[in-house]
Amino acid sequence: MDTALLIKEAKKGSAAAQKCLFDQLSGRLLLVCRRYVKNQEDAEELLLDGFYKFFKNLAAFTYHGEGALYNWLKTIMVNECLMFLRKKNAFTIVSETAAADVPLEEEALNNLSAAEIFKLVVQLPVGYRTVFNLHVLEGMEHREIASALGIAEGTSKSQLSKAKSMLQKMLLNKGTDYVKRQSK
Amino acid sequence: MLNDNQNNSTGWKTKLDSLNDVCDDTFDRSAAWDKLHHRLTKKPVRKKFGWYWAAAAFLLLIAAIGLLINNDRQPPLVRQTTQPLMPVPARKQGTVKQPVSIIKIIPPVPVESKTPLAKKADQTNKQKSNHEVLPGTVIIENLVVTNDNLPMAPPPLAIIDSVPVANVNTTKVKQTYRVVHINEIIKQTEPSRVARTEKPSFPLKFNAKKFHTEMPVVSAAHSLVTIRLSTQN
Repeated sequence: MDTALLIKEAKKGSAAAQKCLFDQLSGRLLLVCRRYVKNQEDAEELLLDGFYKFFKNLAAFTYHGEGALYNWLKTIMVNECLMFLRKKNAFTIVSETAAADVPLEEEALNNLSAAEIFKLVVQLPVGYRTVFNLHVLEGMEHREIASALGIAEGTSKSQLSKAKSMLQKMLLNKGTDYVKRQSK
Repeated sequence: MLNDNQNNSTGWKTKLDSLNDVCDDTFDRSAAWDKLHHRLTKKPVRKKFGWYWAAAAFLLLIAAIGLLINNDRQPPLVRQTTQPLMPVPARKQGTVKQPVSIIKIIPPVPVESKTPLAKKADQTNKQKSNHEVLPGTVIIENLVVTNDNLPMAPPPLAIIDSVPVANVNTTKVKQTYRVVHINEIIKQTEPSRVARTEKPSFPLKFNAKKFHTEMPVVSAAHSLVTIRLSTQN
């Protein structure tokens, strides 16, 4: 079924259309939530909260394509996750002096599959993971991240460098598999 | 270098966005939808109006009304009269100017038994001259007097300059009565001790003739009654 038509019907309050939209988008959006929140149940709860807000404010939404719809929903989900993390006060603060710029072997990461990257990112501690997600995957500046999370800009930078160094270590630990794949 | 980083990050982004089936094994879509649908269809619970707020507002209203009523009932103790101050004469060299207060005490008018007509006339006079000073009031006037005018400088009185004229109403003193025993009253009203001013008289028959008698004053020494005959009636 066409997404534009689904949006139109969902705006009218059709439960079937809403269910179709939910089935269509919930999988990907749950992964977005999981990137920020490690716990599966929490991520599902946040997904439902995000969809609830989406359907409640659907009247204000004008459909400009599937990409716009997904981005809007993703923004809602990210905001929900950040609110959740802020409530839990889950960010570990690392002093700026302790942070050193760690070069990350990005080629190595490029060679990994999406699922492997996801599994690596999920293993990061919550502070590192959040800043890594926001900076690397969402493309936010450190200033924006600092204001969004209520932390200092330097803290955001240090968290990112720590996250990169940790990913580096993880890649080294997975070295055998990685080497095998390179040789192929 | 920066471009490479951006390209790499966008690469991961697209990779991660295309992920669909990483967590699908544990995610029950239908159950999640049921939950969401229940939340969407559930009517929002209207918050009950806080009764405590209503009670607080009511109490405040009552307190405000009470204060207003109390303010209206209590008259001001000291009134500032609208009388203009006396003009201050121009200062001369060598003269000492001292503010002097003159206190006029108007004695209360003794209470007299007035006829209703006189009382009415008094009331009309009072209405005509409202600015007249009531009896029993003290008037303090602030004056500036030079040494030329006064042969002897009177001692200056301490006054409040901001209150040039003040009328202080004297309150009526309640009359107190002495407690008297009832026997004292009876003794006072005994007929033997009361000095009679009028001579009692009564009719008397003597030899089939009617006489009008006058009773003389009874003396305490002897109980004899002397009768004086008269030809009245």
